[in-house]
Amino acid sequence: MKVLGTDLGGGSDSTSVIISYETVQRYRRSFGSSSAFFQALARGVFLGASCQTCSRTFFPPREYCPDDLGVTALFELTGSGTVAAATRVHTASPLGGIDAPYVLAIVRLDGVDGSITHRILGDQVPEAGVRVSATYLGDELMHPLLRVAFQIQDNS
Amino acid sequence: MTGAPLVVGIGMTAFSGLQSDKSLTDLVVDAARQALLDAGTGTANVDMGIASYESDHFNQSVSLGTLWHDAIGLVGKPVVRVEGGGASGAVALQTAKAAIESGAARSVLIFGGETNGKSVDRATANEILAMSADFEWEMPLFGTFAAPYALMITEHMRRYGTTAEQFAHVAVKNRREALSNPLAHKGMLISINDVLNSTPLADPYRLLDASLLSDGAAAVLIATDDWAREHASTFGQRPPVMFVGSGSSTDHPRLADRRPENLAHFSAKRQAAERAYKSAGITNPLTEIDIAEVYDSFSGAEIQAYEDLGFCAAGDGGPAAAASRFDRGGQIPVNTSGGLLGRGSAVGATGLAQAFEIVSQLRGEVHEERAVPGARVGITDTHSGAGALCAVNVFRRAA
Repeated sequence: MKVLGTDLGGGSDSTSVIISYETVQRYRRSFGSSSAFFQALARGVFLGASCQTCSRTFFPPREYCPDDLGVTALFELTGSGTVAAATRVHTASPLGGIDAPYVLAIVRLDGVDGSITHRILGDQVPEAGVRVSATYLGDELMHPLLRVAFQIQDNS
Repeated sequence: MTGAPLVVGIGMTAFSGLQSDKSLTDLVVDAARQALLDAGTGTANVDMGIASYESDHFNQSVSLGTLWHDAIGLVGKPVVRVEGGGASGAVALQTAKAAIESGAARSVLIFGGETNGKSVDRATANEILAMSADFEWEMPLFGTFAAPYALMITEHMRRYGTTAEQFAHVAVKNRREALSNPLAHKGMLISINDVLNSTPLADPYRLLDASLLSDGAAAVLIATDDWAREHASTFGQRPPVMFVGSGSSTDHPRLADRRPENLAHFSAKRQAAERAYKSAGITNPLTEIDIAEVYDSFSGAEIQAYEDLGFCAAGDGGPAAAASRFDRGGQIPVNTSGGLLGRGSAVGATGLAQAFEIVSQLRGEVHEERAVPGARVGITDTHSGAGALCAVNVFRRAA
């Protein structure tokens, strides 16, 4: 932390003592059981999970099935899906990696009981029902989720 | 105890963009002191404190519960901090109700506050608010929390034909109501066109569809009937207001994990309302509820709440808003305080500020300009995130 200044009062907006300071906080954060997904994503592979006991499927992948507490196994998805809803967002994420405005959608993924909220490349805001496919990007400084984005399929 | 807990005292500071002459602790102590004075009692008679705040980051402190408890004068008594995002204050009230109904306490002072206004710059505020989203799966995609709300209302528009003009009506209504609330952050007389032409956030939402970030605090003192008779000198001077029902529930925090049929709605709000109504003995909310404070974090969220709280059928919220069915003078006046759009939102205090408005209305203590004469039953509705945790509380004035 670093004190930037202290106003003893009498200014235009306050009679109180006001301190201004800044902090720089650095974090190191594990993705834990989600790591396998993000490691595969960096290789251009999209993964879901399936319960070894009841065969229920999950996206995002879960380590354990919430129904029977059985362990799950990862399996490969096509990365294709169908738009459920979409919007154009006019403010960039604080984490960076995407310039505003950008198109954001909920995509129901093929082959798994699950969806992802993610970016659609281009300016077009797709209607519900439009087909999209994952395309893989590479940038080590980005949040690993941004190694993928979706694009509208040509035949949609 | 016999019967539901009584609301024996309420207090609230003004909500504003920057309370530079008050620290956050000052605000909370002001609100708590008002609640104790309103009840006609003192700190010595309070059994327990409950602190409500959402973020450890806006005020950069991780121990505000005990600091506030001490500053109010409650040292030596138990305190617990409750965090439930935007529902924090409402869940804190529910925790207090449970403590009283279990016999663990006869009186509980609930106090909450937040400095969401201008304690940090806009970029820092965006960083802190972004922490409400899942870091691994959503946060990198959300510029602001307008994004998930926009996706939900987009689906509502697709499914039911709801229009931007219809939810702009809510933005106009609530800012107008705030003009007659002296504690409101920012009342405004605006038009639907003003809303539709304001800065875009995430389509279809625009700046005037979004709620305010405020500095402020609120407090509520609840107690058993016998405690009130023994310790609250104002008891008997006005119709008692009882805290007769509460319910909460959860939905998947990540929007993408929700069932497709739930995307246009706050499904947890439906469950919370059903539980609250059942505990309060309400079978027909439209005819039995006289007034409501609803979580209008975005204008369209109020329309969705009309439906999920059972005030109208699914899909009828937009036309109902445009027809002023839930304006003052309508079937159920909603957000007479101005709501989050006009009174503002100091997150940890919001559910308590809603209770302040409802209890004030049921007592007949608000300015006649925004009064709902004869109101006997009122509810509050809050949620965290984009409806991950929903909490509904029901208050009833004794005859």
